[in-house]
Amino acid sequence: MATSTDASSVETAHFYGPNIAHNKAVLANIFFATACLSGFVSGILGLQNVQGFILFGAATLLNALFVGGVKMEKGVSRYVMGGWKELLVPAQDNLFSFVLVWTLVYGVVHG
Amino acid sequence: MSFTAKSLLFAASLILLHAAYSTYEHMSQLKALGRPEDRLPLDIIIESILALATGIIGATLNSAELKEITWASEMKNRNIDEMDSRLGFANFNNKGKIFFASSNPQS
Repeated sequence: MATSTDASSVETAHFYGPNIAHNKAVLANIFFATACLSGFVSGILGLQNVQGFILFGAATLLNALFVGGVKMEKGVSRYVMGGWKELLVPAQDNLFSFVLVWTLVYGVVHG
Repeated sequence: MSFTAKSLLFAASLILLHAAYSTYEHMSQLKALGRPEDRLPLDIIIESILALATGIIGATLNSAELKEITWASEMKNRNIDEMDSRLGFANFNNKGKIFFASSNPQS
């Protein structure tokens, strides 16, 4: 058992690690699916420049609100350590997947 | 993960593919007519946005259950002896020898 008493380890001692990791993996999956879907729609609609990223931001926001409202019945802070703040900040690693699918579909549909 | 969630996701992908094909047809028609790239028809735009919303809802409902992250919630399913048995303080020296000995005044 950990015996250090600095503030961060005392705070994290109240949380169960494997469940945090499980939740992170499930949420990463959901947000990746949303990124790919919004990339597909951006390509179909032929969005360019900033408009595509605006759609990505809107889709991620909608996804975060839906996940927080529906999947986390007992309140967001009991499933995710940062609470709503961690949910609403979009993950950077999904941005490249979004751009990839966006360029692919744009090339196929409008090319 | 229920039947509704899977069918939602499936429906969303179908609508998306249909919107993509409609856009492709529309674009090729415009190119064949030699007209400059016009705006997409409104119904394709609405169809795509609808497919996106349905897909997001389907992807969320189709995922695994989330687990609570506090130690207190995990301890509801477990015994304290599984998590912190304090093996260093385990005492195997018990008094069974005295309890179960025969009650013989001479011994």
